[in-house]
Formats: sequence, structure tokens, C-alpha cells
Amino acid sequence: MKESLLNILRCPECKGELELAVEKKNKEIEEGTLHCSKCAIDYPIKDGIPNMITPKHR
Amino acid sequence: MNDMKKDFERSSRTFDSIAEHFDKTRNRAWDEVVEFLSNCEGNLLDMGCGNGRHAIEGLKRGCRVVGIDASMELLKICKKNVRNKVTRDFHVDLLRADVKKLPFQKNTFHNVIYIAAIHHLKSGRVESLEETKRVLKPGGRVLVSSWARELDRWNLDEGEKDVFVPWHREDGKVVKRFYHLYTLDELENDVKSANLDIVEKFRSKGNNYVEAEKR
Repeated sequence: MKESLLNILRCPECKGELELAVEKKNKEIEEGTLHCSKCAIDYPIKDGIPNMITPKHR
Repeated sequence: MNDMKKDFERSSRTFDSIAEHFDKTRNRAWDEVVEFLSNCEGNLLDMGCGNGRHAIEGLKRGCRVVGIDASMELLKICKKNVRNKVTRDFHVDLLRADVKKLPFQKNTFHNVIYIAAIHHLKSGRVESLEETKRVLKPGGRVLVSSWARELDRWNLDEGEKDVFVPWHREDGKVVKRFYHLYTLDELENDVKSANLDIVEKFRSKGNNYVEAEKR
């Protein structure tokens, strides 16, 4: 994902803003985490694709 | 687990298992979608983007495209297809997400395409359209399509709307895909239930289409 996606990206559960932690970046963010502090959920980014599903349904 | 969550997991599993073969049979964008996209600009959301055949058309028209799907395998294929078929300069943002719980801020997208995807939901179809409305900008438009129940091919019993349609994989394995078969009127009613204004409705090549606008 491009970092600019963060502007429109929200937690699918509470629709609150997400905090981005980057682990690997080339032209785009390849690996990392999107964190919702309100829901205490980490959404992982793998191969540049964020997985916006809650952990028990992943 | 409720029905709404089961939908996502079933679609995810089904399409992961047929992703590669599915991609080979879905090369061409549908004319009706290309026509809708010809007036598009700004942010475009592709709900159930699959292998990206329609997302690619949005990119060619200069839209900023975001694609979501339940199947991680199809998303990976979509990413590859965008690189190979459009050029490396184009970028599509892809996410694994549930159409009933869109991970976007409200009033974000100028246009949404929701093509041949809503019929895979056993429940929560109106909820997915309400979510569509939430993320559309005021004045933004969505094109929704589904397979048409009006076709003769289904051999449905009286009142029957839900069917499993087999997908024959190249290795001989058969995977059953869930379909809720909409009539055009029923699809229109669901779109209206989400408080979207109908722009037009039509049937074309076995599919029902509804175009609608957010006030």
C-alpha cells in the first residue's frame, strides 16, 4: 500500500483512525501493521496488501 | 458465528481455491462497466475486485483506484495483472476487506463499482449497500450488478432464490459457489433500502444492473 492510503483508511469495526507501523518499505509499504487503539486490533500488511479483517475471522 | 461472517469466510475459501483458473476465464471487462467508468474521475472503489479486470479500466481513465476482495489469492493476481496489463506507472491500492464492513472514511469515493459480487452474500446484502453509501461522496454514483434470476437456465423451484453453482477446476475438482439470484426489481429495492437514489436499472447479457446516486 501507498502511505497516502492512510488518509482514507479506517478501522472496519469502529471506523476510527489507524496508526501505521512500517516494517519493510520499497516503492510502497510491503510489510507492517495498522493498529486501532480503540478496538486494540492489529491489521497486518503483507506483500503490500493490508488484511482488514478482525483476527478471529482471518 | 453469524451468517454475515460466514459469508466472508465462504467467499474467501471458495475464491482462493479457484483463483488461478478464475483469472484465466475473466480477461475482458464488461461493456456495461466500461460505459459507467467512461464518466468517472477521482477516487474509485472496486468492491469484489477479483482479478482486477474492471479496476484496470478505472486506472486507464486516470482514477485513483482502491480494490477490495475476500480472496487474498485473487488480490495477489490482481496486483500482478495491474503491473502486467496497464504499465508499472499505475498503482492500485488493494485490501482484503469485507463488503459489509468497509475500512474507509465516510464520503471518500466519487464512484463505486460493485460488480457480480453482492450475489455471493447469503445475508447482509442491504448492509453492504449501506456501507457503500457511507463511503460515497455526496453526488457520487455506484454501479451494482448481479446474475439475473429472470434467465431460463436456473430451473428454480417456486420461491427459490439461493443456489450453489459448481465451478469445474482444471484439476477436475468441483467447487460450489453460493449465489443469491436477484430479479432486477429486487436488486433495485435493496439499493433503495440503503437510501440511494436510483439513476437507472437495466438487464444486459444475463446480468441485472442498478446505477444509483448518494444525495
